[in-house]
Parts: sequence; structure tokens; C-alpha cells
Amino acid sequence: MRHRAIIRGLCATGLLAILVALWPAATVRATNPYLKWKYEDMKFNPPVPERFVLDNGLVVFFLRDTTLPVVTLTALVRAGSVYVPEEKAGLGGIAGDVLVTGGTTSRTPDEVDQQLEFLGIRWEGSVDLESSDFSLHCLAKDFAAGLALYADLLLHPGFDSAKFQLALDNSKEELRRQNDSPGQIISREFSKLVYGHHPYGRFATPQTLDAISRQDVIDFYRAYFRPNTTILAMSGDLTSAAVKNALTRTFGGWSQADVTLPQIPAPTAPDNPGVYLINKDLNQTNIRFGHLGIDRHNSERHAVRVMNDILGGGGFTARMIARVRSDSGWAYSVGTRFTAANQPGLFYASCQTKTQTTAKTLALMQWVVADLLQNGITDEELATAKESILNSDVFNYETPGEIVERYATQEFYGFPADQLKQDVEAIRAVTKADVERVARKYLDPKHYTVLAVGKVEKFDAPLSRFGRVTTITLEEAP
Amino acid sequence: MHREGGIGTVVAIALMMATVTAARAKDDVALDVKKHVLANGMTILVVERKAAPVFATYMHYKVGSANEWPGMIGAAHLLEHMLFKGTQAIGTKNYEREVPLLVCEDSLRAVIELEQRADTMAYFQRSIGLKDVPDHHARLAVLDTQLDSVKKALDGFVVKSEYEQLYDRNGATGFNAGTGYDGTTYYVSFPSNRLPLYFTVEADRMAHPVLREFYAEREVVMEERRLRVDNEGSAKLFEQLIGTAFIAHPYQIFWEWPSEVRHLTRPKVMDFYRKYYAPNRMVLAIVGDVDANEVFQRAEAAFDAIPRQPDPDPVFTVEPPQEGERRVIQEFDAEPYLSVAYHKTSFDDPDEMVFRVIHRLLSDGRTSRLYKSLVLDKQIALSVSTYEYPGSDAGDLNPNLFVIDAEPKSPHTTLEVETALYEELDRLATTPVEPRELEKIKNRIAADFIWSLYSNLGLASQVAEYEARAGDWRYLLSVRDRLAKVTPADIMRVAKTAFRPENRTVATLVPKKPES
Repeated sequence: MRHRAIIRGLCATGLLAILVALWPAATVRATNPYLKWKYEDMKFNPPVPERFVLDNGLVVFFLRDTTLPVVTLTALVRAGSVYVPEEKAGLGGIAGDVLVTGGTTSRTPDEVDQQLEFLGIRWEGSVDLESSDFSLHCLAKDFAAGLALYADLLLHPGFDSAKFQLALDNSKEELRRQNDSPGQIISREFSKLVYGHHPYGRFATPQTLDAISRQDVIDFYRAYFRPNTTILAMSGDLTSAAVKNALTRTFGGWSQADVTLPQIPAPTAPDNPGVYLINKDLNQTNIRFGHLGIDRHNSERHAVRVMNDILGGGGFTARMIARVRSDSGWAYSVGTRFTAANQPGLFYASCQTKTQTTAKTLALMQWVVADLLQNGITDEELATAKESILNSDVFNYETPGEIVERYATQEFYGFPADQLKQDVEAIRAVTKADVERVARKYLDPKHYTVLAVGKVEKFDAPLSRFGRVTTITLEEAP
Repeated sequence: MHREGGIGTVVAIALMMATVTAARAKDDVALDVKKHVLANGMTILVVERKAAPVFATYMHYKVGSANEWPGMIGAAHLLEHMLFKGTQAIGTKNYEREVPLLVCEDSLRAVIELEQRADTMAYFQRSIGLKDVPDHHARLAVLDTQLDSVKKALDGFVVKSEYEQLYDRNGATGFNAGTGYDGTTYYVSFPSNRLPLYFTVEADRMAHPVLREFYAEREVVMEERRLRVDNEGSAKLFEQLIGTAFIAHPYQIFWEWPSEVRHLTRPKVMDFYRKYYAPNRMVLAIVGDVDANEVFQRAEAAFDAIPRQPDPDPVFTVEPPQEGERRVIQEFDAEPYLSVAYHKTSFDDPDEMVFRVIHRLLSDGRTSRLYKSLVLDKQIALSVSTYEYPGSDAGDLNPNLFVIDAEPKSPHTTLEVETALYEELDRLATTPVEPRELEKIKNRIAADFIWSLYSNLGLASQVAEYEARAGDWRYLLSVRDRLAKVTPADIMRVAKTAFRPENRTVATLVPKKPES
């Protein structure tokens, strides 16, 4: 109250403005003491999983861990939804469901569920874009029972027809609900706009779901699920000898076959980038803009990672988050991202902002990219991004489950066994010039596809100044 | 409840170096928790785990949105955001010169708010034909200009995101926080050699926070509500559900109201901070590659100078018994959704364990009762789930809700789903659970207990939450042991009492198609 009276007095006399104008400007203070604290690099030899190959070609990574009496087991299989024909989009998701819930040739689905759940075993799986994964988490004492069921499910799936029908019906219901949430709308529609008909941009429709039969699921399984297309990652309170024995017994009889994975071409950039609007009665606009990005093997990916961390991927210190969130208060969640895939994935910037700040937020986000392209980055930004990545490298080895899955994933995507070490060296070598070069190479403001979902007529300004505007009408729930 | 020192206790409590360690527990899980309480009441728990050279920290303050009052709704959450904005040493070029400007900004905003209220009244007075009503616009314009110049001057002092930058450069991961009803938590993980940094910075954060960039962050918090509540049908529905189920208790507010957040000021939020943030209201758990004694010594060196404070009043409000079914409809542009809530007990009631078993019987896994009935057999729902609300891991401080959510599968209606739901709840109340089904639940609880200790952060959060709730982390072990003793008769008794129609609130999302 006292301050208020003083300020009121100052306001009345007009003195406040003068005082503020005369206030000493911020001078650079003695550097924050904490920032000077330096630490040695962590000296750490992370545990290396044992790798062995069964006679049928099944690759296994195993890491013994006695911290807790548990076992983790994950199979990565070269079966992805990109291998499904366009007219059957949605088959991957349904196949994943049926493989998890459809029982085995000798056990009904209910028997499988009862046996697993009675022991408190978690059994999950899904078919993703370029891989499938099926995992089991059990107590070490239940490992024999868990492994027997796990192998039976993977090697002799039952494809129960009632479960197939249920998975199909549930997919139809999910389709009916696919426009309930603006976040789901923007990520789906943005992918469709940038990828076009490429397999990366395919989504189920009522027509494609109607075209899927139980036989399609069986054919999908037969085409891709083989020991030579699978890598097992395993960790837990077991000995290596016991693991080899058990896996040979359960997976040894799984027969190899030549598997030809369909060639997936590189996606091509859309012919008509521009501004797309989806009108929905919301008080906050979802904004996303971007274009094609890089593939996961791109030789400049480390520089791209550093660049993206500085631009909008690296937490609160990233430029886009500092400008849009902490300076302006226009968004809770904002940032940029490069997605990883075997062919070029996406680069996009995204945020949600209230309807009344839509155009100015979009302008600010685009300015942040343009500014980085025009003026480059600072030494301090480079140092922050690199140190952050390098100093947090030890977290790649936090739990045994993560370690074996990392090794399995690396091999799955054709990276060498010491990839994590190479990554560290590659990040260390990234220079300011590298960052600025990859920014110019992989950020392309002239070819943005912009998508906004929100109450269009209430935007603070029409988005036509960002490009040619097309309105998308979402299909009504069937 | 265990309490360290009463209000006004000034006698230095002898440093309790005695550490409490549990014996090797069942299923061969060693849970070796070392505990140390500083003289100022700060509790530190440590589990040494040397597998990887990292440690996770989980800092729990015993304050949350249930401690807010009208006019201050949102203060706990906004404060949680603000405690990332630095201290007198971090985030500023020169604190001594910055602080008068911060005071200036707050005062100007207070004057502006008064002027705006007067302006609103003047507008009304003119509208009823009064003459000679003073005009406030000119003054408001001057004040706005002055505020702008202060803001601009303040911007010059800010070192943007310096706190985050400091942690990022030192390899921190998972640097974040969360606000609940009964607790607010701050967590981060570091490479193991950063222990000194962590303690020095966090003690500074507790003793000398500066809520700079306050008014922009207030906008961010409002944007978060739009993201999480306003534009998600199931969240809008949920807001109605709990607002209807509770008529008195602060658990009724799902998310802060923008009308209140808009009027939160830095001085008000600082008052909230001073009232509730104190070492004696905090539990810190650290799990990983650390030495417990070193942790205790560093904690003491860093935090010992921060004084204990009197415990503020707890929430006294007791929700009156519900005496009739309540039904509420939310219209939204989305497919139908159903949420049903029943009032139940607080963490310290013996029946809490029974509710945990009931939750698993109903919705844990593909063999659970509601999943089997609604999703597999009748095929009238896409999904069904049950949970407690607020539902913190260690149980809620005050009586909470048992909630059941379901997504009906077209053409089936929410009403059909509701009917099928009640059949299963009736069965719980009238037919004893078969021994094998109960054994399954107990096996699952035992397995999940072990998995909850798998990651460093997971274990840290478990011991800290249980310690904070009951004053002793061993409450965690007691929960597991008491769960194993729940009987079929307990389940019938509790189901009969809780799942009565008059104890029920039903919320239904009805699709509202856009006008086109």
C-alpha cells in the first residue's frame, strides 16, 4: 500500500517516467558464479550387452542386471505399416492388435490373457511405421512361463476371428473419434499435406477399413515375421547361459525365410505448399508449419540436431520458446522438430495460441527461423546446445532395459555397435559454420506448408499474408 | 500423523542423523532408504544405486491448489511456473538495480487495476444518465505508457532462461515440475558429479526466488488451460463432473479459472510462497549414484540456514455427504463420453486398500471385469477405465472420488454403457470375488510394486510421496502388505457402501455439431 501511494504520487507528477528513463541501464554483472563451475567429463564405461545369434538368424542382445528381480524382453520386427498397400491403410494397427489379443494356435485368447495377467505379466505390442515391437515385462521367477507364452504368441499367433472383428470395429470407432481433439487433427492433416500419397502420410478411412480381412492380417504376419527379420532385446536377473538355453529352446524352431521388404521411395515435396485452414469452434488455434526434413542416416544429422536445439527443440533456452513463450506469453507449448525415418521425415514448428494471437504468433515463429537463417547463431548458443547433449549422454545408459533396446534399435536401423560413442564425437565436432550451413540447407521458408486449426473468422488477421489459402473440410463421422 | 515441531517451536531440534533403513522386503526387493531430517525440518531420503553415474531428484512441497482460496485460484500453479525464473543471483544482470523496477511494475499495475475499476463504474454511471462523471481514459493512457517504459527497462535486466541454461549445460534431463491438489513437485536428473551444483542452486531457489517475467508467465498459464481443458471434450466434461460431485471441498476445481489468474499479482503470489514454502514442508528424495552421507552433508550445508516456518492451517473444509444422484451434461463438438464419480475415503482410512483392489478388479487389464463386460462381451464401449481423483500415488489427503470413464461405441449410447457399468458394480456388492481372481489382483499388485522402483525417478517419487503423506516412507511398504490382506468380504462391504446411486455423479458429453 505504501508503494502504491508513492507510485501514485509519482504518476500524478509525471516524475515516474523521468525516473525510469534515468534509471541506470542494466550493466553486465560479474558473471554468475555457478556458470563458472566446471566439472570433469564423466568417466564411465557403460555395460555392454552380450550379443549372440541363434542358428536361425535371430539376433539377441542380453544384459544381466540383478538390481531388481525382473526381466524385460522386446522384439523388434521389420514389419511396418509402410509396407501395407494404400487401399488397406489401417491394416498395420489392426495386425498389431490381433497379434496381441488373438491368442495362439493352441491357446484361446482368453487362456493367454488369464495366464499372463494372473502372473502380473505385462504384454504389449504394436505395428509402427517402419517396425513392430512386442514386449514382455515379468518377474524373474515367472520368466519360464512368460517366455513360453511370449514365444507362442510371436511364433504361432492364433488370429482369432472374433478378436479380428473387434479390432476392426474398434478402429472404426476410433475413426469416428479422430476429429475430437485438435492436436490429433493437426498432426494427421499436416502429415497428409506434406507427404501426399506417400506411405508416411497414409491414414485409415472407412473405405480402407472395409477392405481389410482377417486373411490380410495373416498374410502380413507371414510376409514379415521371421527370425531373420527380428532382433530381441533382453535384460534382467538371469544368467547368460540360462538365457541362451531358454531362447534356443523357444525360438530355435522358428524357421528362416527370405523376406523382401517393399522399397519405399523418398517422399516428394508437395506441389502446392501454402496456407491451409480447418475451421473449428475453439478458443485456441493449433498452428503447424514446415516441410520435408532429413532421414535418420543423414550424414549431417548431428549438426541438424544442434541447429534444431538452438532453433526450437532444446527446451527453454531455444529461441522460439524464449520468444513465443517467455517473452510474449503467447503459448504454453511451442517448438520445432525433425522427425526420424528411413526416408526424409518432417521438419515442423508447432504451437497452440489463443485465437486472438494466431497471426502474430505465426509471424513471430516464422521470424525466428528467418532470423537464424539471416544472422546465424552465437558461440554461446552453440556451446549450450553441445554441452547439453554431451553432458547428458550418460542418461542413455540409465536402466538395463534402455541399454539393450538402444543396442537393438541401432542394429535394426543399420548403425554400428559403437554408434553412441560416434555420436558423441560427431556432436563435439559440430561448428558454428556447420550449424549455419545445415540451417540454410534444411530450412526452406519459401516452401512452408502452413496449417491452422481454429476459429478462423476470429483470428487477429487473415492468414493470407502467409501464402495462398485453402480451406479443408474434415469428413463427418460416419 | 507425525509432525516435526509445533508452531512456534524454536528450540533447535537435535540433528537427527539416525537413518531409518528398512529390512530386505518381500519378493527379495531390497529397499534401502536412508533418511535424514535437518534441524529446520527438511526431510531428505536417499537410495544409493550405482548402476549408472546419474542421480534423480524429486522435491515435494506439501502445498497445492487445495490450499488456494477465492481470489487466489491458480496461485500454486503459477508459482510453480515462476520458480523457474531464477533467483537474486540467476537470471538477472544486476538484482539490486532490478528490484526497484519490479516493485515499480507491481505498484503501477495495482494503480491501473484501481483506475480500471473506477472506469467501469464511471461507464455504468454515464449509462444511467449521470452527468459530471470523471473520465479515467487519459490517466489510464499515461499509466500504460509508464508501465511500458518500466517493462522495457526490466527486459534489459533479464538473462533469459539462465536457470534452465545452467542446468542444460550441466547435462540435466527431465527438468520439470507439477502442481497437484495436496503437493507440488520439482524434479531433475543429473550426471552424478553435479551434486554440489544441484544443492547450491536449489537452496538459492528456495531462499531467494525472484518472480521476474511474472505477467507474461500469467498468460502462459492461461494458454495452458486452453490447451488442456477448453479444447478437449473429455477434459471439459471432467471439469463439470468434479465441479458437480464436490460442492464444498477445493478438489472441486479441475483447473484454475482464467478470471482469477488474470488478477493474480507478483506480491500476492509471493505471499503464497512465503506462507507455504518452507524447509519443514518439504521432502527431498535422491536416488542414484550418490553417497548418502555426502548428500546429507551437502543438504545441511546448503539448506540449514533457511529457517523453519509455522505450519499453515490445513484444509478444514469437509465435503458434506451427497444425498442424491447428480447428473450433468456437457455439450461439445466431439463424440459421446461418459464419466461417473463416487465419493470415497481419504488416504488414512483403512478401506483405502479395498478401493485399490476394486480399481484393479474393474479395469486393470484385459481380464478385468469392466473391460470384459463392456469392451469384449457386450461390445458397447471402445474403452473403459477407473481411477481415483485427485489420485496421488500415496493417496489423497482428503476424501476423494472413484471415477469410471467410458467411450461408448456407436450406435450404443452412454445410457447403455451406464446400465452395464452398474450391473458390474452391483455384482461387486452382492457376489464374493473368487479366490483365484483375488489372487490375480494381488500378484499384479506385487509385480507392479517392483516395477514402480525400476527407474531412479520412479523410486524417488514413490518414497518422497509416501514420506510426505504419512511422515514416513515406510508407509509405502505397509500399503503393499495391507493390500495383500484385503478379503472378498471387504470388497462386498465397501462396494455396497460406496456404489450407491445417491453417492453418484454422472457426467455425459453430448455431441454438439458446429453450425455450418
